[in-house]
Amino acid sequence: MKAIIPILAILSLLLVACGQTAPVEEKSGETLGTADQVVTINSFKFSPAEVTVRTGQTVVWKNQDSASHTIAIDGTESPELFNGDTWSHTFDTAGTFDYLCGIHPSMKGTVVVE
Amino acid sequence: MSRIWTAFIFGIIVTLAMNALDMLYHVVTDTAVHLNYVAVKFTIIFATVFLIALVIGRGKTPGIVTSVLGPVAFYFYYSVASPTLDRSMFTIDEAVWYVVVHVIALAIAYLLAQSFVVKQKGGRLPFAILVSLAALPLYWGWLMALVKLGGGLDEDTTKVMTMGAAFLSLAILFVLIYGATWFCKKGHFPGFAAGLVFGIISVITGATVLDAFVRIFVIGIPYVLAHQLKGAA
Repeated sequence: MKAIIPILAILSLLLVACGQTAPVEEKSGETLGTADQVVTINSFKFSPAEVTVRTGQTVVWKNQDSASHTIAIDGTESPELFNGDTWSHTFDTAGTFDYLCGIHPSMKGTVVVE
Repeated sequence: MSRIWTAFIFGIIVTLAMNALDMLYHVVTDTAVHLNYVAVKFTIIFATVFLIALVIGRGKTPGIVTSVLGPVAFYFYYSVASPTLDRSMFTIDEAVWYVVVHVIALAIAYLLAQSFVVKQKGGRLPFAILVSLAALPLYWGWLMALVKLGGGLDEDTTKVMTMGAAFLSLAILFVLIYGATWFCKKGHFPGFAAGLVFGIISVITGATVLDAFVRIFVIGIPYVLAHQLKGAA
């Protein structure tokens, strides 16, 4: 009987500690905005490969492929996008932004910001 | 979380779960499970899952490629590994049929990890199933290692698990892990809490303190790794 007391004490401490754990990690990535241009990913290709937007506008990438992809653009990289996932990026400066898939660097595209 | 680390823990969890299914198949069909054999299989399957997740990515197509390529690679190793395997003992997987068994086991483990845990479909239940499966080979391997450390022979290690003991162990692991996710949903801590309960139970049933201590990590490590996979991208 005496052996049960420390066991119960440990279990009580564990339950108390449960309430003090860190929050569940959430999927990182930029907040989805209104899409001004949508680029779909299919068969290891970006379609269309080149899109044009104005400054302040947002491009949304939608993965419709059976493999995961990322978008490496403008010094940032999206989280790994699985089938059905989307990721968006807003362009605040004019210019031509070449991007690629971080997993498959042969997949390339361009965003022209006017 | 970096892509390399994500692919690494994905590889560990999928490979452990695949090995659990394979080991259960072995005891159900009354064929022995050897520690060395499991270690080799783990290494080859893990390398396949990890490298494909890293280089091709994850999803339906990479999952199919992984499920086929891993067991085929293992079969080739198995077929040519005479100098490193005692062929009087390791004769189980000489039939091509076992490639199919491994493909099915790996496909189930991959699907469970990718579709239900990474993409967070189905809530706690598939998570608890995956972690239980991932914990089983660690527990089983630990019991086999204890026999080896105690001076036992390879053949002695094959007797640590019967079919009944294997399924009972899996059931206990599942109840503890599912219970932990039920009572304490957040963070990594529930895994170690469940492991501690597993250790306490083992002490009560006659295990040593060292054995009990290891059991904390038998559940804790796969729990923490699988938890990191939740929504990992």
